[in-house]
Amino acid sequence: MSIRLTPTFCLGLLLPILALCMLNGSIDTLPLFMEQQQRQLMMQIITELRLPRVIVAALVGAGLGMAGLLLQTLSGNRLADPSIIGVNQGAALAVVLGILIMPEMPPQWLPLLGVAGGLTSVIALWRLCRGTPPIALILMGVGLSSLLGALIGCLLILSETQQLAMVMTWLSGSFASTNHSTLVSTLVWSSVLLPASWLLCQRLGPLLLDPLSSRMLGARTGAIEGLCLLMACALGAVAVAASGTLGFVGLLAPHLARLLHPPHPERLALPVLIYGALLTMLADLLGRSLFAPVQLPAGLMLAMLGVPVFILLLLWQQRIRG
Amino acid sequence: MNNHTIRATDLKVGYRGTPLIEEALFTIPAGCITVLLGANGCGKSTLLKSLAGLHPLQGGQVWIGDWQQSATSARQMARRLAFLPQHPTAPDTLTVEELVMMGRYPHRRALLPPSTKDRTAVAEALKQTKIQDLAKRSIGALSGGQRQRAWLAMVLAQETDILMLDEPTSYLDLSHQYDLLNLIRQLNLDHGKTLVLVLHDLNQAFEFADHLIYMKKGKIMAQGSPTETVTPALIEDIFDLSCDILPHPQASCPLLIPLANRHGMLRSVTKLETV
Repeated sequence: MSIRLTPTFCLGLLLPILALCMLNGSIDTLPLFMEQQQRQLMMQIITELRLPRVIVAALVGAGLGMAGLLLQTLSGNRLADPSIIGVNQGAALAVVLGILIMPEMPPQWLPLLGVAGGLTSVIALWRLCRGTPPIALILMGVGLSSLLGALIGCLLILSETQQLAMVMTWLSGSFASTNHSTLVSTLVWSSVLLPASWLLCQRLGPLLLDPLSSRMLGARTGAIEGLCLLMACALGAVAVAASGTLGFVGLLAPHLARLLHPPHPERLALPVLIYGALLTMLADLLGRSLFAPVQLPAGLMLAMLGVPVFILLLLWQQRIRG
Repeated sequence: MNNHTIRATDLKVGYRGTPLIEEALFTIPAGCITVLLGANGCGKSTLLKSLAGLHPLQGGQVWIGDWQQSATSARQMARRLAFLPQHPTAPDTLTVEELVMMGRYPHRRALLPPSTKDRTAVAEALKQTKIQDLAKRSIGALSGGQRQRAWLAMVLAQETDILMLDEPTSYLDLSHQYDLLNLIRQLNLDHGKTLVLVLHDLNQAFEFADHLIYMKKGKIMAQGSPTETVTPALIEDIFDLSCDILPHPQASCPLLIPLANRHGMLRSVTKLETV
């Protein structure tokens, strides 16, 4: 099955979800626009609360999806994802440490801290796994991510209660605390990283082949691999800094895209960005409105709804091939 | 033509310190089909890889025409020299056409869609390997022989003067082996391409090669045209195999008849004849 990703198709998917996100997930709010007095309040809510939240959710989702695609292409294994191989946990550990040790640090610096943490864990992983088959990278990554997860747990127990609440909401992967400063920092980082990662995907073709063939095609595989890793953990870190540890988008978005589009990284890049954005926007919308006034973090929503969908997709794929 | 002679000086190649191959000077002539022969593990593949720049040299230099291998960018080299490894792999979901388009990688500009030149090169490569019908099929759905031809089409699309193929006939049945070898000869005759192959079948090597390089334990034992070089003594030395060499009934090349490897057996046969 293959769908051509025309602009109308993308807009057709994006616009309704965007509209729903703005309107609090219900059409009932639409008449409020008609009243003169309510309208001003509505516009204020939309521009100051909803819009930053939706934009951050979309950017984070797109970035995580792209990070998943890069890591999966790089390792030749469809299991790779920033949260599975420990990039997210590395970034999370660094950011938690940052919040606990330097509480007065401006939030714009959190991504930088996240990049440092993610990069450290990814370099450690890469050094350990040099010359081993891709599955070893995944397995060691799983080990590393549990280790880092445990360290984060230790930090939480050791920290003071006041900071704990802040760290906990952040760790569950939520957009609830999104404000203008997160919007600005995410927007700035993403406007550099997303186009750059899209460009990188255009040069990834040879990595699909065995190492000898890709080298003989003149691809500078070492440089491309390094760039991919750097890009993936930068994207993962920006996402972690904006919304905490939001898992699973990096796995689900590339799988969705592969199911619907030709499996070539250069042609998957755009669909992955769009599906990643859609997934987090939907998760945030549902988490916010399903059990209102209680807000469920988007990360939990993604896992609760995304995992069954993912399993069904995989089963369906197996049936078709088998 | 001379601009793609392959020349190695003071070549030293090995794994972890111990040199496996040490050769003062040798050349692979341009515009010829050269076949590397030797027993398993004698260093044929390693030699081929080090000529292609895939194996780090412990010493010496490899020249591809007037370009020094180590001083030339991989991308530039990929426009002059293509290499098909013994066990190439690609994702099963990739289509044949997409795989062959990969061969255009060193020619394509970043971020631009394939040009008409790229498309004609891909179409031509598919035609030469006779797999136009399979263009839209995914690699996973192909038979071993079809897959091998798809990979050959990929390196052909690279449009290089030099093609190095590491055991291209493995996985193929006999008729496909000869199809492939005929295609290789045609590429050599029509386009003047320089071909360097590793083959295991000695008679195929004699029939299709212009130049043979015999190797044993990392040493080049002999080289030259098949008729000049092949003797039962050389084959015995290199492959530990007794044989008889006859003129080929159809072609102007030697024909090798392997005899049982035991000297005793051979003697008993001659004994029978004298009785």
